[in-house]
Amino acid sequence: MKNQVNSVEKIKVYLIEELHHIQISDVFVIPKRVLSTKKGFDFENYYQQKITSKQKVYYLRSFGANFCIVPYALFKREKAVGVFSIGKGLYGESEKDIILIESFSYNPDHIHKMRKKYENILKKVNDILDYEYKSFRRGDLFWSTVSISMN
Amino acid sequence: MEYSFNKHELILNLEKSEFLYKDGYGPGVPIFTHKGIKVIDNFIELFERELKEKKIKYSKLVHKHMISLDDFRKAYNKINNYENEVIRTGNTCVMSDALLQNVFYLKKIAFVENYVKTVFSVNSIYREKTGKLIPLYRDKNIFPVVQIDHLVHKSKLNKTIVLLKDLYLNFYKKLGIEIKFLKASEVPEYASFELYFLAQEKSKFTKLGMIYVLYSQFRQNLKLSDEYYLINSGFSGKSLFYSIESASNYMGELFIPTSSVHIINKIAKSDKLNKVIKIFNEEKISFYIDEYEKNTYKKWKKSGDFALLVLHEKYTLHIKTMNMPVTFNNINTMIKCLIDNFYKVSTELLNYSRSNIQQNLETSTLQLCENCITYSYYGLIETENTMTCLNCGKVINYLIFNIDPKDRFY
Repeated sequence: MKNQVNSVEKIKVYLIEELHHIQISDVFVIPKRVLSTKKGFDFENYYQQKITSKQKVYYLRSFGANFCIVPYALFKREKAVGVFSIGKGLYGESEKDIILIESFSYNPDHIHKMRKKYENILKKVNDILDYEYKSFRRGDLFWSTVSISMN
Repeated sequence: MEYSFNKHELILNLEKSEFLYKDGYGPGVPIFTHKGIKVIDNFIELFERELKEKKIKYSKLVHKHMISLDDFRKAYNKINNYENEVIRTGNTCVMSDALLQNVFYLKKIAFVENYVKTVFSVNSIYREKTGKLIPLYRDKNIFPVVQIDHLVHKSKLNKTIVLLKDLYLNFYKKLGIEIKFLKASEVPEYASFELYFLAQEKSKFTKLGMIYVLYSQFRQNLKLSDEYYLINSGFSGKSLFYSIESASNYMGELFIPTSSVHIINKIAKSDKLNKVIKIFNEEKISFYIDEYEKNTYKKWKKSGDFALLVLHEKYTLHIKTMNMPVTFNNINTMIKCLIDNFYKVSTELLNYSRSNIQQNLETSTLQLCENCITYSYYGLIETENTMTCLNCGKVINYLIFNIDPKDRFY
């Protein structure tokens, strides 16, 4: 357990000091909300796991690189940004400490550059249970997401 | 200097100070910045220190978010149906109260230990709500939810309640808040004893937390022995919001009592910074280190943080309550100035809160005993000193809270 705390701390320090990513609070439930933007696509915060309860859609914090956690206020304000959150999330039937990392930029090199930097995280600690990376284009923006589940 | 912030205005200030992000993940689901996270951590740590000072032995738990729907239904059977606020999927639901999991843990350890058993938990919970939502004050995603649950033998019930009252009273005092205890009966189907922490909110009262002795139906539902009582107490982020609101009203500008000292390392050698870090850790002063920017001072001014320390050849300290910065040659003198000013402002905040709540008491209570009041009233507000009933002369240690019991307030 202590090792895991140290590992999470190591990753956190790397993300803040080396990549200048911003830590945001972890939120377990995100109710579905779609916002229209001037950037050529609709903006939505979500996690990989989706449920419907009483006809409403919610996303539950979970492992998987298919997510968007950047706060809308930050998305609107910045041209390029990296954020991450640390907290419990679903991993299959169980709940694990999960780190979600996300960044975007108008620069097409962003995806290639970030992949390398994010892969460095794997070398930093040895108690990572699972890891998923995704990069994609949305409107004119290039996005990278990483989901890490700790042992 | 004093000012009366409305909640919307305060939230705007918190957004500008980079405490949280505007609109979060939608209404009722705030997102805190790294600074907000740190303030919340300090707030929880302050409470945990109080627990330790009171020498309360406890197990600290962080729960899973998903719980069994069956367990939830069984626990609340014949008590209250909270299912409309709960999100569910299949046979699980998202935790809407840490009580259940705290009790499961207490039941487990009850077999191996034989004294008052205490669980302390800090969680985020989710309740589907409608109506006006204000970050920290009233949310769907409620965080932090700080909860203490005790399983106590009936012989130790009163002693534990006295201990808890003392604990919460001191915790709020350290936040610069004077609270009063209101004994009422709002949820008789849920609790056989209800004690609320009242604070003043403009000309009314607001509730910051509570101590419940849970209704016997809970013991049946949770299969607990009749010999034991279940005491559930705690508070939420609303108390943090209130502490910021009250402190900001007093200062006339945003002020976060549980903020960290903002340290700027301008040109100092790293050994100087290390020395500062060591002393801050020893004195349990929370801090964060930032790089020097042209607008450092301006940023700090609107941050709501108590102090800014600039390290150069010397130590320059900016404190919210001082008009001018002070420069020190000696680190210990600087720390003393910081701590002295912090205690000074804490005392001022508490006096301010005390005088406000006193004014409210005068307008909303009656100095009568329970026998001399002929109509229904909300509850009894405990007083520190005894007094006499103005009608019959009986010695009392409470005031009648003279509002209609149907006028539920938050």
